Amino acid sequence: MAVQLGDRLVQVCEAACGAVTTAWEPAEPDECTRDWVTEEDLATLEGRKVFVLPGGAKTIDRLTRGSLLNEYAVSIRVIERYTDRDRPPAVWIDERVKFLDTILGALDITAAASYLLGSLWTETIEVTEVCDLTELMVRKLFYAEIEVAFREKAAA
Amino acid sequence: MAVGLGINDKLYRNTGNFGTPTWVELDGVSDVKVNSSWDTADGSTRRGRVKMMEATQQNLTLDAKLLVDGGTDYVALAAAYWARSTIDVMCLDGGNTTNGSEGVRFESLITKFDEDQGLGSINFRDVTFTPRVPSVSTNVPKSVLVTAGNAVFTTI
Repeated sequence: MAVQLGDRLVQVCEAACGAVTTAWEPAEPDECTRDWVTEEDLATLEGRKVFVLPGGAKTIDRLTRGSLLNEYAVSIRVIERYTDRDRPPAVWIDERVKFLDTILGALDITAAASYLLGSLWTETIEVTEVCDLTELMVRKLFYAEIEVAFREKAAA
Repeated sequence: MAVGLGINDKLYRNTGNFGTPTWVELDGVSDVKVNSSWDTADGSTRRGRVKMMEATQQNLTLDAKLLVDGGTDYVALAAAYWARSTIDVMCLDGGNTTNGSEGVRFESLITKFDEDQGLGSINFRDVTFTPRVPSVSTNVPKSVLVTAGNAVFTTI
């Protein structure tokens, strides 16, 4: 039976969240989670949060007569609130920018032995927003975005 | 008659013997091409001003892009290439039990096994199957037409 893209996308997001958690080993209140946030949550956010969200799924091409090349997009958001009264210093910002390397290292998968769920490799991984300056200025939030595209060979 | 689609075409290898074949579909191929043409000899005379030819020998090969996936079929073809052993192949424009499917069948030598290892590519082998001197004098290349659910072979 052909892979159900939506169902598989959820599995990919779960696995990506697990990979980040394993690489990062967050201590509470830090966490990597599939849950999302509201405006109210952001105003009282505690700790560093990595959110793993579904971005999209599609069949790129027919790979062979019996298989397809499928792609799954995963959107990562890294959000942390600066809780002190003064403005966020450069050293605070820089530490969070460097933290993005932890996520890149966990999700940039090219070795067959490390494929996510045994079959998914990373086609592209990009920090599309390293630090949203408006969020930093207005709400004192470190807000970064990473977009990852995983691909796998799937039964047609 | 329905329009033929490449995705519905089939390439098979025989895992039995020539007389009582067991056809296994090679679905790990993408593009397949049957190269078929007649050499001709010129039999022109003064009976007319137009060149008049007769077919002498047929050039017949199969080209296929084979996914490098380590599966049973890939391993079998790779072994046959390096050992220069025979692969009995059948290439049809439909299933081998679908009436009207036509194509060719021959004992082959794999004469090309190129692999594109480009940085941005998925590994495929460009494979060429070439008719070889048959193991038994009657095992020469055949045209195939599926009739009443069975492949019927005619010596070319």
